[in-house]
Amino acid sequence: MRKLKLAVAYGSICGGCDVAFVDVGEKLIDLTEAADIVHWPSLMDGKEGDLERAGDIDVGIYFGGVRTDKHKEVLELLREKSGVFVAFGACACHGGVPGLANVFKSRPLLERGYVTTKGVENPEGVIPGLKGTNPEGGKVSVPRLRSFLSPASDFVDVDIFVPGCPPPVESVSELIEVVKSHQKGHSPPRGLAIAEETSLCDFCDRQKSEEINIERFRRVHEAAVDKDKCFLEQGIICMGPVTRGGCGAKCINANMPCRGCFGPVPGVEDQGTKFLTTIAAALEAGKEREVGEEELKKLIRELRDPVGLFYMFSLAASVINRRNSDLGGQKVG
Amino acid sequence: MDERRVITIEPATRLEGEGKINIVLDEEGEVKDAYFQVMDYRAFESLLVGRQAEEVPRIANRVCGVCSWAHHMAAVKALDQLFGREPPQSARKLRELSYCAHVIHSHLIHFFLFASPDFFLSPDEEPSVRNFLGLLKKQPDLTKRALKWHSEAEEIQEMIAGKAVHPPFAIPGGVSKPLDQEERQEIGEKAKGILGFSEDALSFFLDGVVKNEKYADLFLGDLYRLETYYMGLVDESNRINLYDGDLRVLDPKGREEAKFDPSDYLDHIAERVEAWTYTKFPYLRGVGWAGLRDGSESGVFRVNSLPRLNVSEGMPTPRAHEAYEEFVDALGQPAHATLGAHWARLIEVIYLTERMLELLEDPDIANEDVMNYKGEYRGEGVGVVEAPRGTLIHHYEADEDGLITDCNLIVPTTMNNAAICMEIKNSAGRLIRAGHVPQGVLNRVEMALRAYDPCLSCSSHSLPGEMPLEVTITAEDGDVLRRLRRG
Repeated sequence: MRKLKLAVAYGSICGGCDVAFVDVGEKLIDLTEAADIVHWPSLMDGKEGDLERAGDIDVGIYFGGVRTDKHKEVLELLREKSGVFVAFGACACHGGVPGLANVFKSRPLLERGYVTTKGVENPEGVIPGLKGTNPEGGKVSVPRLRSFLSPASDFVDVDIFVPGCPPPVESVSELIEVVKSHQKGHSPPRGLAIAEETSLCDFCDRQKSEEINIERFRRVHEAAVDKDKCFLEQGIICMGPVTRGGCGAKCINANMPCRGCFGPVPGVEDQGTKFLTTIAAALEAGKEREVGEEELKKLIRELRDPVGLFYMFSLAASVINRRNSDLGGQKVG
Repeated sequence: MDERRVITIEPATRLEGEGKINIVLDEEGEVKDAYFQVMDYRAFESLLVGRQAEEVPRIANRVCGVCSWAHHMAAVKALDQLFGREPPQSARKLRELSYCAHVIHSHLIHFFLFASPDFFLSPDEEPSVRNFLGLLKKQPDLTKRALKWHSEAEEIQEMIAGKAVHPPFAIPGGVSKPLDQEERQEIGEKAKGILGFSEDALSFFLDGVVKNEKYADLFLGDLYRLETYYMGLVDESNRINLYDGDLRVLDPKGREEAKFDPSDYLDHIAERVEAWTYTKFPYLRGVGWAGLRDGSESGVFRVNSLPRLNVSEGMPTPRAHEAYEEFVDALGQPAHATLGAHWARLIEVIYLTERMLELLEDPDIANEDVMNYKGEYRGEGVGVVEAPRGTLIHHYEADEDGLITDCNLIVPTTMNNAAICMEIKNSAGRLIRAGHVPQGVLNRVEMALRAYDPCLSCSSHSLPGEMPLEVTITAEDGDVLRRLRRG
């Protein structure tokens, strides 16, 4: 049986996907038996040129979002060479937490980071990649940021999505099984997601009524949380109803509500908008009558940061973010 | 146009080169300058603005997947202050307990997967062998035990907090769930195992490296040595603490330069910006910026394990203290020998494990009351912990609705940025002569970097194996004159 060639490449990352992958432990040895790892910056002694020289790659795995042109180049190179392309982790699938920066263009982001932040002594307003002297006749410089951060699927076709921040060890094991069966000639269906087909609520043990009802909202630090009862029924925002299952409900079991790192449930394009309609219905249920628009608005206004709560991991892939770009993006299948 | 050449080293554990080194040679081929670059910016200082403050510990931890706990803890400590809430003793101790497990986990990965192949396989070994797999062949028992105890440390984090990477656990005023008796016992068993292993690991290092004449020069010579200021957290008796305390600064002679409440960090630390890197250059405000140089006239300071031991007058637990005394006898106080950071990390693992066992004995640890919901809202807070790689500062301001209006994060690899640049110039300068770049220079320069366990962005932190490295010597017109590769 021919050994496959596998490569891992990065966009803008935090390192958590590497940790998640390595946490699979001995199973990693299974992977190296099915595939030669031709490129993986943190594990292997590799350079950018290696990827170009590698010839065709059977499985290419991409971690992180696309923040600089360099990230985009690497992404496109990996896609072009890979028979099966895997978007691994929340950033590659939906933009992840760094996508929350997309409410600003890159210049104000950089100004805040390098000029106006407390403690910075920068009277000349030097900004990396934008303003200031690059030494050695400009040879020592950094790549400029793109205007916005994008998930991988905005630029390339994705064959396998592995959502999660980071994806749980169980997902990594499953991905390794997919690679092993690919080696045996069973190609994965395009758009496969290593996740459940229904929402997290189906995998949550907390007691909830047939129909969720919410009286009013409260924040997680405000009062004690009943560890056996649905968060939403306690008025605490939990993204469970619109978030794809498959994470093992780890946050829920640690008595913390879901923030949506697995992205939207299949069939839903925009996690945040869907959530808004879900809670609007839940508020109605709580009143057992029609809630007037004004009253609904008042209740919704209690939610101080809908962008941060409803789109913590998916703003870069959301419909509202599309006004920032003409990118379509591929839905997680 | 001058004739200077630029040597580009891309250790960059990242393909796209988030971490990159440029060494500039003058006309005689001697090292003139060195630039250590970070190549990505993820804008956390902006994206945290507008967020509900209590959510921040779950968002800011995404700065780094390798030390997510350090960001989780620094953030929640800042928010305890912002909400004016003292967490109950049980929550405080549970945070410290889980944080100890995290730092142990990080230190074991670094020591065994990055650092030790240099020592136990010799720095001059073939690159293809000088990695974790090579170590597994040569020291199978020790390496397998390292993996086992590293994953046990990770399981402890998951038992306490639900998730080991990017935990959801800490909330302003406490934590999300208490520890049950069964978990307490199981964690105790695991901690005892880690303690036994960490003592063996230290003996292994002492016998194989410290007492090995081959390495004496690496520790005590000038190749990896800077005389800088040092900073780290200490308790009320000036002993190490990674979760809480005051920040203490020593000058290069070992005299106390400052000791302050972390909330006052802006009086002591300023940051400089350069156009050619996304990492800033923090320095001591009182001493001032004098460029990339060491000595008492330069505000460059270092943080990490070695600086932590330098600013401490001892370890709070018995076995770690014994190990500390041996360290001080060998390297002095303060120790300027950069590679001493590896030794210091192993001593810290012993301390952290002893501390875990102390905390597990404490009756508070299993108390079910883990949240304080009351306090007088202040709207501002600073949280500081010692991350595995050094002092980490989170500072937040929020409006009357508890929405973040401003924030500042200073991460340890940033604090070490100036020192890393100097270290690279220093080691490259001693190894590259008259334009001659021997093959061994690659790993020797890497060893300087590795001592800091650098975490770019804050995590260009590489995992198992070694940093990929290539040196390209380019002529002024861009022609590649020579390419050196490892492996």
